[in-house]
Amino acid sequence: MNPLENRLHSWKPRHPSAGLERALFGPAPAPPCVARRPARWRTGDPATWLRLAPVLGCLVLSLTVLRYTLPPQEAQVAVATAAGTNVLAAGILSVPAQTNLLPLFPPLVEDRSNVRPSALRHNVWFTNVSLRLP
Amino acid sequence: MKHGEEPATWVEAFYRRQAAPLILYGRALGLSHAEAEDVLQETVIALMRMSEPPAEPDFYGLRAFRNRALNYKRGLIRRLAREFESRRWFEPTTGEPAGERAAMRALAALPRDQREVIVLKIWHGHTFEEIGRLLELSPHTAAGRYRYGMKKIRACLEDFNHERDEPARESFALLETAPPVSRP
Repeated sequence: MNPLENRLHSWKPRHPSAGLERALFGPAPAPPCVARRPARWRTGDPATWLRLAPVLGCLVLSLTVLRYTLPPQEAQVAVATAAGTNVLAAGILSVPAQTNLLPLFPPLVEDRSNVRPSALRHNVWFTNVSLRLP
Repeated sequence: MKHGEEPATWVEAFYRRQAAPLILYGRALGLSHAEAEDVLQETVIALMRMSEPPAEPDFYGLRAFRNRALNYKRGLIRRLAREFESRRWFEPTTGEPAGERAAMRALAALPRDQREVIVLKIWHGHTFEEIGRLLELSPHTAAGRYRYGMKKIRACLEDFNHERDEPARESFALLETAPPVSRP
């Protein structure tokens, strides 16, 4: 080998990742009863939130689409009752009485608090049973 | 399998010997590091399924890797990921001079035919006859590609050394004292 070939030969090629070696020659995978145990909900784990991010994004998108495809009154009732999370629904529906978030889009109607009483009843039903709204 | 342990099978022994050079060969064929790992995994799994070891395990594995690498289908996401992946082909070394990095970039920038022969010759240790057999070329053609490629790498290194030895006049010009500020 000439000096240039020796010089090139001294460069060490990158090794494959250790995960590949483990996947090929590592210990056998855990038995199915262990492998299929239910995953624990770890809210402190960033990977959990990374997995949930697409789901939350789809939920917000579908609620937004619902809000613009249905008539305003029906959409508010449908979203508020279907979502089950008043804060999220209120943020999208831009009901100022229920949220301190700015709406993503301008409201379709002039009245910014145009929520039907029946929707409010759904929202407060579980927290204050004695409250009866018209 | 841990380093230091005796390989249990011929495939493990092959993997220990050839994994890093095959990854480099995959890079020379135009794959990203992750893609080369995928092809290596497919190749090793195919070798594991063989009932008997081939007569020349390294050469057989190299040919199997090459066939799979050339047939590797790249999706859009893989192409995008490849664009963002590190271009480093070699393990980083401490005190790596800039000239070495320039030469590594020159190797990566060579035409595929030339860098393929260079990788097979230097890091796989094959002769031109073996390379010609693998690539279905004459040994003279393989040797010609090797010479052209090495000539370009040498030129790159010489250019770099020449630039390094040039006196840096521009930097002195920038270091001149600023003219005094005249009061109005």
